[in-house]
Amino acid sequence: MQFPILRRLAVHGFELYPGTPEKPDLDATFLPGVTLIVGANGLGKSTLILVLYRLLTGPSEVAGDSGGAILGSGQLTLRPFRNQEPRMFARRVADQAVDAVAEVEFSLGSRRVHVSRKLSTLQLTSLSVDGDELEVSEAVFQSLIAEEAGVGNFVDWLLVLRYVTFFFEDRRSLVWDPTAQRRILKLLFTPPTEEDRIGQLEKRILSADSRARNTRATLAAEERKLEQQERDLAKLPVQQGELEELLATRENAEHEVVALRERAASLDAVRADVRLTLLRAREHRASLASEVESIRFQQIRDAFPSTSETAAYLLSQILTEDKCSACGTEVPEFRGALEEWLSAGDCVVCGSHIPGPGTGSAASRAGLPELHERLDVAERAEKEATKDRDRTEAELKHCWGRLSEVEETVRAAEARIRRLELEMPQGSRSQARREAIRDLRRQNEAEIESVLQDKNELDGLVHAANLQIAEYQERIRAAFDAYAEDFLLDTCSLVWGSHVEQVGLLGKGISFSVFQIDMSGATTDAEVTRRSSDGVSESQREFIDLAFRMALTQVAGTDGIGSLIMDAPESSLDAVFAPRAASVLTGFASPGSESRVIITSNLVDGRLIPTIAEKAQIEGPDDPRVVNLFEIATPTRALDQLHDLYMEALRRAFAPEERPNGR
Amino acid sequence: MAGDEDLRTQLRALTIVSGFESTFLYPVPVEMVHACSYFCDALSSLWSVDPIDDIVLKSEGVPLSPVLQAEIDWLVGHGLLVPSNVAYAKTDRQTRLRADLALNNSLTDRVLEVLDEDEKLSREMGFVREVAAALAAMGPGAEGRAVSSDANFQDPLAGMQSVLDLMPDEGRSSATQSALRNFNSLARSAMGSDLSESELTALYTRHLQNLVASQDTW
Repeated sequence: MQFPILRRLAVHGFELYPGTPEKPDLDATFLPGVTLIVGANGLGKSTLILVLYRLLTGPSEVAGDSGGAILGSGQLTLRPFRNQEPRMFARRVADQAVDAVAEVEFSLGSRRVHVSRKLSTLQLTSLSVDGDELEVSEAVFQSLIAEEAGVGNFVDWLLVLRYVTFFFEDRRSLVWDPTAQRRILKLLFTPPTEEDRIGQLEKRILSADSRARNTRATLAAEERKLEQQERDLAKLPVQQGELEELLATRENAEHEVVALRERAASLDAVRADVRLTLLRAREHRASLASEVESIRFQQIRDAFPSTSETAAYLLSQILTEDKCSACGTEVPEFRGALEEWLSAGDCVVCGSHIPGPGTGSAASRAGLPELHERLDVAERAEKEATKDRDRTEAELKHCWGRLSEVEETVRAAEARIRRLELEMPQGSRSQARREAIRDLRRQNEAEIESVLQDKNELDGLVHAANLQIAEYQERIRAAFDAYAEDFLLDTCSLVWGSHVEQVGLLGKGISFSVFQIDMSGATTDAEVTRRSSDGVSESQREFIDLAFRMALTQVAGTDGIGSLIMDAPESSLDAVFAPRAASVLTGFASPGSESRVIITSNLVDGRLIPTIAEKAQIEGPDDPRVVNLFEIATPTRALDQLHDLYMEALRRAFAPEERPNGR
Repeated sequence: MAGDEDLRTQLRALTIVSGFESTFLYPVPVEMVHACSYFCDALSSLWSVDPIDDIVLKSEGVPLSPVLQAEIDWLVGHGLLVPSNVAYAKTDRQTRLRADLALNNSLTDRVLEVLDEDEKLSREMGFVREVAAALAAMGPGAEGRAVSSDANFQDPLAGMQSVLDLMPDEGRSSATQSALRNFNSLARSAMGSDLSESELTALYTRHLQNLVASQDTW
């Protein structure tokens, strides 16, 4: 797709940005590389980013969009702003922005687009492409953008801006949210027509699923009424008691089936995690054991070259794992004795003293004690992982077993209920109801069948989409690794895997391919998959998401270029990681690239601005790559009263002596 | 004293080495033993036998089975397998044992004879021998490419460092199981009948050989 390449932003007649006498208003050109928007609290840094965003989106939002949760369900629609929403900028200033106009120039591929809007209402005032004026209408704007960007519709454009291009202070997550990811990956890497079809199917399934469950509820209500009618009969046949009991049994069993299916789905997800953890733990332990074995094996061969390979191998295993492979016995004391013989250079077969320097010093140089400790930790981790896996498998098996029994109970009850109904006296009032129930049941079965068929079709389409996206996963992973390694000290990589989502309550879940994060942690050097951002620090969480967005832009964008706008990166960085963050941000728009990175920043103690300035070759606050809101924006009271202090802080932020390499 | 599962694994290791030795591949690199064991597990549903490892971590190279390796160590300790050229190879991710294995025929001949007297074990080890023979035909050194050509490893939806489920729950199939089903469907349309387990095993391993050979050509 064509990501927008932002070139210019101008704001006229807006009280928040009066500009200077020499240069009124705000007019910023975005050159290739980094642009810094600097200012103190209240000068309008975030507002300026929002103006840019609204110029590109207009007065619309994705319906119900309050985060990732909405992105999973069915087709998304556009919702025009209502009530006071279009007046978001008007409310910021005393004159209600009555004369304020903002304009943006950006490229989509080779096409130059110019958009201007009134800031009081976000109404479009002009629209042109490559200098040619177009009809000034939101419909034309939305259609143009969707076509030139290469997305299916304007909703997709909004999603791309929100989840990939703009990183607002609310830090809406992408890599940590599989539901958001599956939508974004699909729209970036699959043809728009297929995405549309998937959306339509999901909507149809959700609607049909709801209908089937409503029919089920109606059916249950009719069956209860039938029960009541039967009870009202003067002389109840023996079958009536049985019928009541069967209806109650069936209802209870159906509730249990729903609960068991949910439990099984939840356990299935847990099982996937514990399996992966176990295999990782096994691999890690086996690798550490091999490492220790290799050192031991070499020690024995070095000290006793005539020892057979079998003997050396068996002895190295005893020294590694305290266990004799010849008889299977745990022999920690013999291991201790072997250690001493080896260190002293004594014979490792019979313990006889052989004069010589021994291998003790070699053992400690090899770092063996530390390796043994790590191996112990890894063995304990593997044991725990095995227990977790066994426990989860047992629970899941038990759950399925119980589900099977309960489903059979439902089937048996249904069959008996039908037979009883046929045996009921003819001509009773309940006969008509029974027939209605039979019809409802048939209708419900047909509805369920229809849902399951649609789900099969959806599964096929999603599978095909997953395969298309899979073609890009290696490139995305490689790009992510390159960005993440500059920031993180922990090992961090993307893992391509699957995420099962329930579309409706009937039938099985649909498997979507998404990325997850593997990170080493503070207490283990084995990598652990993180399915949520719990346990990850705020700065790591945000910059991992940022690296993911950068990787997606690089891979999905035509020619690997795009724009990235990040509001206040300094808010989640400590002093040590600020320069690393600066490297990541400037790395995205390296010299020679047409990509743009626009960053807002407060004046904070630390190396963020100095590092960005150095890497992006920004001379000072008057550089064309700096939007200096200290000059352009209406000053706050704090700025008025502490002006000199702010100016000194601004000067220092850009001073060469503050930069990492003093340049 | 080994339990039933340990015994099955030990017999598998011996049968694999024996299978390779019968094709004049001697001694047998331990990676080939692990690769052959992987294929036995991937194809196990075809023969209705239980796998040794029902889940595998998808990574570069031949997957190492710690369960199999533990029994190989037991066999070395008891003198049924003789190791040679023992070394340890270190990559970015891990350190692994490298060794060649040979049968100590004075002990293993009798074991392999007795094996034939148990119908169930004999059938299972017959399957293992077929897989070993097919892998041997690709030549030493090809086991890594053979594994990466297997449908499970070729599945683009399973990324590196994810779990390959060789025996998924009812209603799901592994990629290799799906491939076997497809081969059988093709054969059924062409010949009007299903292929036997041996025929499907041979067909699938021939398919892998062709894939490996085509990589050699490139």
